[in-house]
Amino acid sequence: MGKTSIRNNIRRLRFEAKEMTQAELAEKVGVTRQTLNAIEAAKYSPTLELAFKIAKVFGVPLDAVFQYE
Amino acid sequence: MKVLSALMKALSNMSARELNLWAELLINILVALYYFPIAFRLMQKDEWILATGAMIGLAISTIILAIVVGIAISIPICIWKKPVKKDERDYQFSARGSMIAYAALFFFVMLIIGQAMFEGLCPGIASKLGLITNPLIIAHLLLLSLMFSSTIKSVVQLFFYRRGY
Repeated sequence: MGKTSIRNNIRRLRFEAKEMTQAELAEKVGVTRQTLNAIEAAKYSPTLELAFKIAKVFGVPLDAVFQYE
Repeated sequence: MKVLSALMKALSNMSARELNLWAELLINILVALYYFPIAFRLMQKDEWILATGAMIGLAISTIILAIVVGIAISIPICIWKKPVKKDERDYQFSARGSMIAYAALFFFVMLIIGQAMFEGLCPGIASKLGLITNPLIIAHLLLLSLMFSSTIKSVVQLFFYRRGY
């Protein structure tokens, strides 16, 4: 499970959302902090459902969070 | 001191699920290292049936060892890390671990059964080829395969957790 071809802006979006921590975001979307860290580092590709949940927390469309390269 | 602090840092970065997998792996290895050398030594005796009492004692002490070590490791993990529900990544890694462990178990079971059946198919050839026909040893080899596949499952999951973190 090296780097995936899916880029993401989670780190920037967290920063813009009053510096939300990984643990806070993880709790909101129902995963562990470790899973969220792996997604943020592009080492794990989330399911479509989890990707939508993350986008919903930030109130942005899916492609504002994840981009396929 | 540096090694200890690096270890503590690595442990604190792990989820409760991953720590439990390390615990499971440790228990598997401890039980295997305790049980199998003694069991196979007992079975090497010519009158292995005389060792039945010792085998039962060994089985009971192994179960007690596994329970005691399991409790001793699980309690600090539960206190240190809040248990959390499995998420999709946990399920995915668990499925991959099970898949690889199943393949390994299937291979070893077929190998053990196959060599045992050889004696039935070609009578008298088993001893010449050094094949195992003793039912107790075969049962232990199957048990060893089970433990080995369980260890593979833990190792595969830990590999993915470490790589995917």
